Amino acid sequence: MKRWAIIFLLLPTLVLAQGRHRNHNWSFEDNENLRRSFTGRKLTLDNVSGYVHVTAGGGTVEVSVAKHIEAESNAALAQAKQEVTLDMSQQGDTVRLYVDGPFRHHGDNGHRGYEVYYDYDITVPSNIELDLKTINAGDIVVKGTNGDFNIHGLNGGIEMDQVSGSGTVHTLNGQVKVSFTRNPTKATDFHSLNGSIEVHFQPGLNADLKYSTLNGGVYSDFDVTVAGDLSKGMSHRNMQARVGTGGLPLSFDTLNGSIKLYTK
Amino acid sequence: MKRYLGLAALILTVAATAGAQETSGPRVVVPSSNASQPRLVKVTTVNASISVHTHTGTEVIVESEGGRNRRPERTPEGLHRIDLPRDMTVTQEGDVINVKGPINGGPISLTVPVNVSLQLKSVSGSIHVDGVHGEVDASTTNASVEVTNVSGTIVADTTNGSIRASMDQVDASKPISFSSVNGSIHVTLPSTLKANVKVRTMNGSAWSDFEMKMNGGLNLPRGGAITGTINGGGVEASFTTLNGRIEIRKK
Repeated sequence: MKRWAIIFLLLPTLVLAQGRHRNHNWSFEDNENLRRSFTGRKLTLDNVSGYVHVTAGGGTVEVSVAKHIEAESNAALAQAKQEVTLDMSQQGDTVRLYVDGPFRHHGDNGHRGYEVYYDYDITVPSNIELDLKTINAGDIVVKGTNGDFNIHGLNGGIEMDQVSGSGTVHTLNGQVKVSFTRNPTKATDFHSLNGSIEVHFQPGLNADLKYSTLNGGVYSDFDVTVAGDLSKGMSHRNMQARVGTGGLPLSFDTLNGSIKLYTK
Repeated sequence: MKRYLGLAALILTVAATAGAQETSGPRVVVPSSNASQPRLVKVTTVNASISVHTHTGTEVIVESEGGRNRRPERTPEGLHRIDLPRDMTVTQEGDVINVKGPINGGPISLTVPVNVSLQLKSVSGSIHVDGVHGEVDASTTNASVEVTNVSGTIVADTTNGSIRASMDQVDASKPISFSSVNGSIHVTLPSTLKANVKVRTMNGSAWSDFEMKMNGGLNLPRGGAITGTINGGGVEASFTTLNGRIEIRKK
């Protein structure tokens, strides 16, 4: 019994330690916390490494960023500080957060001896429009917003909890999980390559679905009529179906994962 | 009274569960076309059996539960599958609907309007058709063919299976044919049928309650075809098997 207690006590420490040293055993590191406040109706965030957590609440855009550098030497650490920058600005109604560095430039070989992570915790007005992108070492989590969205991950999962609006949710190596408080009113796409897709809609969904997976099943808690353009052939990799009276285009696409759709 | 309500609710729940289980596979609904001529549905599969039933609607409905890789215990609770089994495609080109079955799939079930023509092909699966008015072409190798209550024409063949067929009406302009190698053939035809009949069996026997007028009497070589006419002759009707019994009955 006591042994279990010790293991459970140790677990969070292990997770924390892992969070700090994410990729390398480089011993030179630097941490910095940044805070900025904006008033905007649209948030454009283009990150490279690190998580992006966006939560609705309040009337302003409150950005809190934890910057973390890992480097193999003091010189590399200094170089990282000089080369990698986060640009936070506002143009009209749009708040723009953009990470720049040598990795943005074509022909970069990727060997730099350092790694820079930006982890974002952002609170936003609930009606904000979101355009979020991150590539490595972190997921994207959005909570409670009701504006349109365009969410791109690459090596991480995407979770959108209690949201509404329409748009795109796209990742490559990660799960997609979305729950709607109101069903989308415009075309909305959900895409992963190596991950499952789970979407919770509200009851009374009327939509024309397109869905496709290779190694996984497609499941729903509602009945569909599989019908549509049959000239190209309806198959496992190309399914079209109508739920309710149809109308709203929704598409779900993954290769190695299942698709689960709920309305209850 | 309350107890009855409770019982009714229970029955409804059971019925709902049973219904949910029945629709475990997806239904592909091919809507009616505005073409004047009846549609042709082609099904090609290897190990799946094919069954065709009619309905009063105008759509063609294709259902398949999928194969061994679709174990029901993999389905998350409260959900059912809405994707087609792998390797299965449904294509439409004009009046032709093409269904390619999953190689190792479960049975394929079609619900079609009465006026439709069928081309059904399997290798190890049986074929069953009921109630269609049109041209039925059913072919398999290691299983039986059963075609009942059909009006129009039937061409049925198999190698290692029996053939059972019953026709309500025979299209006078199109030949009918029933052929097997190692199976029996049982065919029921309208009593008013006018036909030129060809019957051939090697190691079996042929029986009929029709008045057949045989050509050249009954002194035929073993394995040769018996030819004759029913009701003065008409449509070409052929019945062939090597190792089986042939029965041709009046409806």
